[in-house]
Amino acid sequence: MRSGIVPLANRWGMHARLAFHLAAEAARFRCSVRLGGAGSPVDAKEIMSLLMLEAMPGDELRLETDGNDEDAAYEALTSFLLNDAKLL
Amino acid sequence: MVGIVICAHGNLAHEFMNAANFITGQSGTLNAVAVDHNVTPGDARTMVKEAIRGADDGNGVLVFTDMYGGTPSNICISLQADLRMEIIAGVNLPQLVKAVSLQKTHDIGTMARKLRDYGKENIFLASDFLRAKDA
Repeated sequence: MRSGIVPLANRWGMHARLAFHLAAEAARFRCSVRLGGAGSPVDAKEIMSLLMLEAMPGDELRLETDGNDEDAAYEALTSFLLNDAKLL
Repeated sequence: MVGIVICAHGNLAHEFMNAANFITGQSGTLNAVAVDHNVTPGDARTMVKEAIRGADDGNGVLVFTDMYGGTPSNICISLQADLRMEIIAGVNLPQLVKAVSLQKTHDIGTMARKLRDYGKENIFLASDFLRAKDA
C-alpha cells in the first residue's frame, strides 16, 4: 500500500465538479483509492463519498492506494490534487 | 451507450441537465425535454417520444422524470411499451451525475436499478448527518 498526505490545492475546497473529476481519475485504476480528511478515509472512486469529506481549501488529505497499480494511482492522484484541482 | 433523457415540468429538465453538465464538464450526454400545458397532450407526447428515440443508439434510454404520477412521468410510462427504455421517477442531481459515469459501461437494466437505489441513498437530513459525524 502507498499512502501519504496531500494538500487540497484549490480555492473552493471539495465541491461537486472537483469530486466528479477526482472520482473519474481514481476510477482509471484497478487498485483501491481512498482519501481521508479529519474522519475515516472514503472510497475516492465515489463522488458522494468525496463530497462528504467536506474538505476545505488547503486541508491535508490522506491518500491511500492499494493494489497492483498502486504506485501509478498514487502519483496520478497526487498530481491531480496538487495541479488539476486548481482548475476545477 | 445508454441514452439519458430528463423529462420534467417547465424548465426543470433543462436546469437539471445544465447543472449536471457543469459538474461533469460534458455536454451532449444528457438530453432534456420539457412538458408544460402550453402544448396539447398529443404534441407533448410526440415531443417526448422524439426526444427518447433521438437518444437511443440501440442500447436503450434511461428516462428520469421529476415526479411519479405527474404528466411528464405519465407520458413516459405511456411510451414504455413502444420504446426500449427504463423510467426512474423522482430524479435528483446525484443520480444524474452518477448516470453519466455509468452510461458507457452498464446495460440499461443494471444502470436503472443502481441509480434508483443511488438516488435514495443520497438524500440526507443534514442535521442528522452532522450529528452522526460529531458523535
